[in-house]
Amino acid sequence: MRGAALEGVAEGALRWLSAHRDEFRLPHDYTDPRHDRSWTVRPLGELAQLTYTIGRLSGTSGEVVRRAQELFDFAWHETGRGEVFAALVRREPHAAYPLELYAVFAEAGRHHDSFEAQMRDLAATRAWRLAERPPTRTLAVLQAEHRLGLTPHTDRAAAQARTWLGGLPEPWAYTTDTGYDATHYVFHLTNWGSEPHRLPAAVRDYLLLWLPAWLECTVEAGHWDLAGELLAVAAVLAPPGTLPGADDAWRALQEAQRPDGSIPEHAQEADGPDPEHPRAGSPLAFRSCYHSTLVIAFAAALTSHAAASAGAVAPTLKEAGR
Amino acid sequence: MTTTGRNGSAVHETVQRIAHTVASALHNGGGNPFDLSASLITHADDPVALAAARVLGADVLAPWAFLGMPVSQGDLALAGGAARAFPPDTSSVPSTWTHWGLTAALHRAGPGGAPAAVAAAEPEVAWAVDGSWQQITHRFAQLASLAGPTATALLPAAAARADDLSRGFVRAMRRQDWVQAAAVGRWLAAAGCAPASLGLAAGLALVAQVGAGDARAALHVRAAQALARGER
Repeated sequence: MRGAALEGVAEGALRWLSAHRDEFRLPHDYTDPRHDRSWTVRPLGELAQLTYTIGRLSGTSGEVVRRAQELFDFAWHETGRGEVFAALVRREPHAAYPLELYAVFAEAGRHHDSFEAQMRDLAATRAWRLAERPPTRTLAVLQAEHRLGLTPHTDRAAAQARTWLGGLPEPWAYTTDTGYDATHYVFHLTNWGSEPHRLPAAVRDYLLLWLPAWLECTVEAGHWDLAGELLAVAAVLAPPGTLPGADDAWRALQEAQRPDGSIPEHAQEADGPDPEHPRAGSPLAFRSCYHSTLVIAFAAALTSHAAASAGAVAPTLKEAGR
Repeated sequence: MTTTGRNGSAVHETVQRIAHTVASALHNGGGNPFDLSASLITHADDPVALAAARVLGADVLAPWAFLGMPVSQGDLALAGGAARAFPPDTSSVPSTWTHWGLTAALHRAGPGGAPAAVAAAEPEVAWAVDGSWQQITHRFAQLASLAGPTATALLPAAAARADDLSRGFVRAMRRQDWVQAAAVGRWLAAAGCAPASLGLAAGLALVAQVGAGDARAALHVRAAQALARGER
């Protein structure tokens, strides 16, 4: 059954995420500045965003949708139904990240009224409008404002043009950092792949031309996390099976996925003393694979959805026993 | 043609010396007389020089082909000796094409221009139609000495795959494989139809800056830049 193995990739990844969901829990004193939010609220926000998107995609299996929706509910519960964001913004009233992480819940109809009231006041200030940020991050803030019905703090078209991808750079200047800038440009503009028509035609044409080379280099480097994000972008661009090299990249990711459903961010992280579970159970083990595992579930579900939407054929992967 | 051990190292060094000399001539123009064989300070039948000349193929005569610089008798002897010493392996596309390119250049550059005996018909180019972008990038890079002012069937074949060769250019740049990047860039310059978003001229300029440690990269960049200027 074509595409079934792709479903298996998504199911395996979500199974791992479900089994490890306690590792997404916030520390009791989550507002304590000694906690690095990159390892506290950010992973939880990423879990929420990607499981929300996966849970809404048609063309994916009931098992994938069920697990994704359960994890999204878990994330909302873990934020104290939004109270975490209200507390964070009380401690850091000028930070944008609480709004960025909260926005997916608002889109899902989960609201925290006092947080939203706080944000309406803050977003009306000159300081909010004038905050200096990297251009792709500005797109994230614009998307969050849009989801909450706030006035955009800057002109969207101008913001897009200032990003690396929006400016259509020489494609041979591709690096890991600019690769992440490019994938997030697409995610923010298309609402995580669910509105592909929002991608400007010139950027779409540019990506159709250059993504195959970027993808091959990234797979060759064993950088599974970024390869997964590029495959999610590929699913936004073109029906599965039509972008050169995408099927080969999927097969490489399938090979890299561990029996427990996780996938390391980088190939070399699988080369520990126990290649299946390097430092299993430690925070480091979780940190080295939670994002890439989320991303591969997202990319696989998005590819299945794109195949179903286009009546296209999903990549033929090995019918592995997982 | 294979070279091993100390002999291989000597051939490699001579390839670099010849490529450097040719690249300098292409870059600096036709002001000074060009005499490769004299600059090598060796005999025309030195096996190392012959092997190196065969590796570089028609590029041994590139200053004549690109800039019209006079060809010395020594250089004709070197090119001719290389073609005779290393006949084509007919089972190999690169060997067949590069040998054909060398003999065609030799005939055009020799006394009296292009005699009727020039050459056998061009080798086949069907492989360029169906190969993946990775395969044709590899193959066209091997044939970069044929990306010159004289058109062959390779030129429209490269033009038809310009997007795919451009992907190969991008990958080679990312891999810092400067020789392959310059070689593929040379085909794109010859075909004149690289996608505008590639930024070919800037990419080649970067290779000239960071990749010139390998003289073959420098040679391909200078040839590409001459082709882009429309010389000859």
